[in-house]
Amino acid sequence: MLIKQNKKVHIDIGPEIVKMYECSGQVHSVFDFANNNKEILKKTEASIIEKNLIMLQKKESIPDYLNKCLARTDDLKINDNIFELKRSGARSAYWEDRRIKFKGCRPMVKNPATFPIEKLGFGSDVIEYDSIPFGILTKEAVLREILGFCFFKEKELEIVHKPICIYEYCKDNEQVGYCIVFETMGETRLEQFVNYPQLTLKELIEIKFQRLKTTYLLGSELLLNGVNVKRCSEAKAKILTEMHFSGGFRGILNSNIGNDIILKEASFEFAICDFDCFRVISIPKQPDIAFLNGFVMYCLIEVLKGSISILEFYQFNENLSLTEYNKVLFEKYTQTSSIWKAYERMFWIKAKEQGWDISLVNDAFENILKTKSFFQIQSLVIPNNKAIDDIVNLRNIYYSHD
Amino acid sequence: MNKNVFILGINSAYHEPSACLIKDGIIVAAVEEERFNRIRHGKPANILNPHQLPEKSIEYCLRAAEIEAKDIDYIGYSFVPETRFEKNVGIDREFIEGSAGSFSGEETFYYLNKAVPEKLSRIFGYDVSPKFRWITHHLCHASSAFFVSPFKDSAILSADGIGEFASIWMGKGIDDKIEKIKAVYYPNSLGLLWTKMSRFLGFGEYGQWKIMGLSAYGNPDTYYETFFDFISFDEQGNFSINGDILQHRVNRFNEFEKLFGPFRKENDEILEIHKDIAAALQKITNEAMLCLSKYLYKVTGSKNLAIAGGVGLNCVTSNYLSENSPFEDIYVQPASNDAGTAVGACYYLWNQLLGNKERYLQESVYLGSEYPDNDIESILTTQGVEFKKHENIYKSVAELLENGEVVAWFQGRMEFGPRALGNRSILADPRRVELAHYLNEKIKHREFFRPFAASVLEEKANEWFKFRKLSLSDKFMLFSREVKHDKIGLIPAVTHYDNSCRIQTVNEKDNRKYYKLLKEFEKITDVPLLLNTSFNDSEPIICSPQDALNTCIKVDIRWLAIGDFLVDLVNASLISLNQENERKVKLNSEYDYNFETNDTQLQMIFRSR
Repeated sequence: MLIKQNKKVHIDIGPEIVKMYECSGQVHSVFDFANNNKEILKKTEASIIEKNLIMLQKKESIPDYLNKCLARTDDLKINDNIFELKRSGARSAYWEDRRIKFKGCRPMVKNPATFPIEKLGFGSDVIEYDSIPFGILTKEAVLREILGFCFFKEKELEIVHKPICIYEYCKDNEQVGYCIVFETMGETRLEQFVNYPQLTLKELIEIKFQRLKTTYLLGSELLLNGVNVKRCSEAKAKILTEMHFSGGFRGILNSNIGNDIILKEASFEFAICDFDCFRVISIPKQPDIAFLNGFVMYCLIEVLKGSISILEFYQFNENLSLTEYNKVLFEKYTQTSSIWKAYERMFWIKAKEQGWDISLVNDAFENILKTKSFFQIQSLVIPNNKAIDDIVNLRNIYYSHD
Repeated sequence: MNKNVFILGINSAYHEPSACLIKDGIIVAAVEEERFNRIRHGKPANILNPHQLPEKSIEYCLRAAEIEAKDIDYIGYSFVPETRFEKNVGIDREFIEGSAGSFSGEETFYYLNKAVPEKLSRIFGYDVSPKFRWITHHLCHASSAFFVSPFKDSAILSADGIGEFASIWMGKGIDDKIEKIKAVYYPNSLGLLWTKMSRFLGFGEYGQWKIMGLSAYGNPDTYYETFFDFISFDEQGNFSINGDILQHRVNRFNEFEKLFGPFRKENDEILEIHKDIAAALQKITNEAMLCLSKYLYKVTGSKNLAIAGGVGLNCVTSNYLSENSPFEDIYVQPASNDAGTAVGACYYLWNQLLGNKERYLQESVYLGSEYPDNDIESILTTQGVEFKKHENIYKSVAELLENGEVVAWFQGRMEFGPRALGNRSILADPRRVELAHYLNEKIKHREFFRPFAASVLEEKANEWFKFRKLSLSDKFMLFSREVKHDKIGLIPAVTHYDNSCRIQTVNEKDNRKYYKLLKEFEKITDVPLLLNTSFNDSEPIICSPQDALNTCIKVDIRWLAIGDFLVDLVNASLISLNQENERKVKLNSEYDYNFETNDTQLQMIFRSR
């Protein structure tokens, strides 16, 4: 069977090389921006920024070449100065020589677009679907990126992106979005190495049920060319467990391993990024079941969504309860995912170190399996006929992205 | 016509009891007792059991050679009691009275070893003493390394826990003779350091493999210098350990705890500190062995190195020597554990003592029990399992593997030595990392950090792995090679944390059926490798078809390829394992050892032949 390789994407992510224009707006130092706006975050989060202000760059540290607003679109351009950079995702750019990353540098004033996101409140069982302006960051998103940096520094965790300054894009003196500029130790993403079969869901289902002879490893994780999956999984699990047990979570990420960075020249070789939805919760010494339900859910969705994709379509042949659907998918996931294997081991070590009531933590795992939201997240990782039925019947939207 | 010369080699003094029989200098059979008595390592190494001989192994060797006990011309025993007795007394500051290291303990061990010829005479039904030769432990190791190697001349390095008194033996071999250059004596022992560390890290007496696997996860430099507080070595062939810190003969760790922190209990979590200690120990071992090999290179002038002794099974160190030592070629005896001393005893007699010039090249380990297809069919029928004969079973198995199935593979003669090399193996697709998780958790019941080895087509090995020179011993899974960069992500199930993989090269001459299986798998997948792990679960590698069925049912392996039969055990879990054992169906095969014997029964068996 010939697999069609041309894919439609919802959003034009742009060419590999992008033009950067000088545009209207203000350049803020990270220190000032964080200090002046931190109060829009929760108290505990603001206090983390407050404690770590000393780590943040001040105005005088911004290099001249960044001391002007730069953008990937000409919507706000103020002159004809143009230079070319590498594209980085759909809304960012990467200045490779200087190792500078511009996150959210694609203001689309002429043709505004939005981007769908999923949110789950701590302790909530309902995933909310929302949209954010496409191409730029909101003020809160920038602050959360800074919060992530401060949190990692405070916990002495490795981080590759150091914020240098913030661009506030303006049209007619009105703010139209923000871009955060990072100095980065590397931008080689784990997903670049995926030996990606480029299957549509339809093709995956056809392969699964027509048992077509292919070289695809159905039921397995995608292969990563030149990458040691054990090593990456251990490294990622270590960062995530440290982060989670210190109360930090990145939420429901768009991309599974697109926010994992492989480094060659640093003292460490693996890092995570994308903190624009980062939030910090306080961890009680002896958490009760209500807290643990939320905590375990947050841990699981981040690990699940951040796992290497499993090339599988699961067919349920009978009507089951929600818990049973969840159990089947979770069993498949936990048996297959390398990142989960490493994370699970470290999770229990941490939970025991904290002196938590392990039976309560186990109960929380059981409780998660009863929730609709967990089924929705699991269905993003392992597509299945039950989820598709729900979509067809318009009961829910699971496959909101590509 | 000249009479054939039969030599029987026996290892029994410590653990891994084994027997080897050679006929006119060619190995007819070599087996470890553990495969028959189903006790890991055959028996525990202690002073009370050296006279517990590998009776079933000896019996198998005689059957395989189609001779009777009286036909044996020489018997080599890989231990000399006198060499050990008094030397081991008074060395340790701490020891347990009545045990090794104490006068009474050593005396017991001495007399029980001395009783071996008498015990053997009783079993064989005649006085064996005129044929019986005591040969020192390390001479046997060294002989097993050199006399069966491809080298005309070679440096020889034998390192293990302890022989009689020596723990490291260095020498050289030329043609039909070997000679000692230098030895290192107890307590200065790399092998015992690993044993003690294994206990300290909560892995028990035989957890050296676990340390090796874990070491890849740790930082070798964190505790590297700490080891030098009680260890030293140099390029003059010296190696020493402070025995007061090692505390080998007592089950205490108070001295280690001063250096490394609290010892780990068996079920405690594996923490970073444990990984770092394991990594440092591996690094120390690599460096120490490299120093000793440099010394040997200097004093022997040979470009070849032959290795045996338990340390020789450290595939990480062997690869380190292969890549970094001045030697051009290295041969490692495939049964470098104590079992291999039975081979060495035979060849020490054949070449060194009897002066035979002909050398035997050990290219194969398929020296154990074999079961004809009609016997296999008979037992499968009796057991009531679903099976089908396949003319080209390797094709069906390759397809199953490609579909993500785990297949137990039972073919031909059982391997000698601790590695399953494609005749008693469990196989899986090396591209599927989840199968590695599954095998560790559900089938082998091992820790997460234990890596899996790969069998690779010999002619494709250099496309997938890095090495300076492929050794003959790569056939025996004795080197942990580095996976080539562009292949790393393609075979995650067999790529260890440090990008290494213990490999077994396979060619058509050595194992035709297994080679064809690999070729077929390559044809379907473009990957000329298979994940290969030993066919067992926390027990010795299986020996008989009955063992194979029992293990498959116990750990829920669906597919068993045995001889030309493909067995589907999907419904076999319904069969009670206990009932299976009780039935103990007697095979037509003469190689059925599924019965208990005692001395009297054995005497009857041997005498009646």
